[in-house]
Amino acid sequence: MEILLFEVGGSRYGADAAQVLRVDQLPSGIRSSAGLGPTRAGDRALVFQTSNGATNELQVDLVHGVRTIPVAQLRQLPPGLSPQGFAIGVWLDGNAPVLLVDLPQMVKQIGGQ
Amino acid sequence: MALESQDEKAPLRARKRGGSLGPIAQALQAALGGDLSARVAQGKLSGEAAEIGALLNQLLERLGRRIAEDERRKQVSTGEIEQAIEGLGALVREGDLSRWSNGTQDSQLGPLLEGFGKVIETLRTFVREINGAALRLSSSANEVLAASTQHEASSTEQAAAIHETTATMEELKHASAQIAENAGSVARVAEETLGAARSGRGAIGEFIQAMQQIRNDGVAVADSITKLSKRVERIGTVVEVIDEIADRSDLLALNAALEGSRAGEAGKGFSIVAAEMRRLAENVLDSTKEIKNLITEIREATAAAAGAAEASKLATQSGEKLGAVAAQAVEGILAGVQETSDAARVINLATQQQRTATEQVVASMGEIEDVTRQTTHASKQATGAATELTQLASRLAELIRRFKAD
Repeated sequence: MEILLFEVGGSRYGADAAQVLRVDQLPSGIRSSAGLGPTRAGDRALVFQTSNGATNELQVDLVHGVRTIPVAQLRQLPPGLSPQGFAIGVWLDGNAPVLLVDLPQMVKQIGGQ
Repeated sequence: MALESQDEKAPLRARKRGGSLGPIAQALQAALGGDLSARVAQGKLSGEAAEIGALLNQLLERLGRRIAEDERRKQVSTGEIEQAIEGLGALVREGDLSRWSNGTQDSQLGPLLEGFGKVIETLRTFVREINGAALRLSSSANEVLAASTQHEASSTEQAAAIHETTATMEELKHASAQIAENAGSVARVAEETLGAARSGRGAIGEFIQAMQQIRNDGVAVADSITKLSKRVERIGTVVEVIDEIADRSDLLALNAALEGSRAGEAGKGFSIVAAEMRRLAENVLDSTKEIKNLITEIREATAAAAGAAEASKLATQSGEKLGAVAAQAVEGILAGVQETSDAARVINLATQQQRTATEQVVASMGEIEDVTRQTTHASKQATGAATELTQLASRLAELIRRFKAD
């Protein structure tokens, strides 16, 4: 499975690369990243398509790139550990956990609040 | 006085015994016996015998008077001789010339006493003159002794004063030598100071030139720093461009990787190229980051260098001003040292002359001291001689006082 690895506020995240349409450069000065907390110095934005077909952006600090990860290495989170519902699993990059998020779901959850 | 011899007495004794000329014979017998007062008894005689008796009595009378006269003259002469002997004895014993008398009734003794009188008178004159001379001599000897004593005292004081003066002059000579030596040292030090001041003037001139050179170099360094700063800014601009390009390349590589992932197996090679591009872009970004850091350091360094150059400029300007002030001060010092050196040379020369003069004075004082010592010695000898002369004069006066002239 192709996972796009990125970083927000010092935490590493991963998302299904198929969900990301492209990576854009944001104008400087914007410091927010929806449900993942404030960014530090990033000027990247992940452009993805929501469930209703619209495009949205997630500001991130850093994009590490696309990694091909075997599905067996992906772990699904137990129910209840993701109250907002957009965290769908975890991948261990060595000993460092990488939280896998569903970008359209995250937008949906945030929009539903 | 023997009137007749014993042989002539015999006939008279015979006639007495005859009787007519008896009184005459008796008178003659008495006269022959030494009795000149015997007289012929006239009453028993007559005629020619009476005449002879009268004549005999006249003869005896005259003879008695004559003998008495002779006896009186003898006594007078004896008295006068005794008086003369007494006068000579007094002269010999006591030196008394006043008791001499020329008076005599003896015509034979008169010339002798008169001769003695002349001698005595001559002695009296001598004694008077010698007494007067002895008094004058004693007085003069006392005066000479007093003068000699005073002269001796003066000579002693003079010798002491000259000795003290000589000692003082000796000290002065040493002091003069010390002063001359010190003056020489001062002159040498002044000369060295003059040389040092001249060297200092040269060094300050070189310092001012060095300051000017440093200022010029500082200006050149400031210009270079300005140029360097501008070039660094230019490099920064270029690095910004490179950074932007690398960032865009990174972005493009990311998107290419996304595209590759979406292409599935067909896009794997594309994804690999995209990943390599990303790696290169990240390397470039890391390099530009390092370059930016270096540029920042260079900016800080150039700013510090510019500040240092400005400070150096100000310091060199201050140094030039201080150098000018120092040069002016050294010029003043040089003039003062020059005057000091000239004065020291003059003092040195003067002290050398003083030392020479002092040594000459010391030598002269030594000679004067020798002469004074001789004078003192002579004064002591003169005093001794005057003392002896005084004693001799006193002795002479004492001796001459034994002679009484009046």
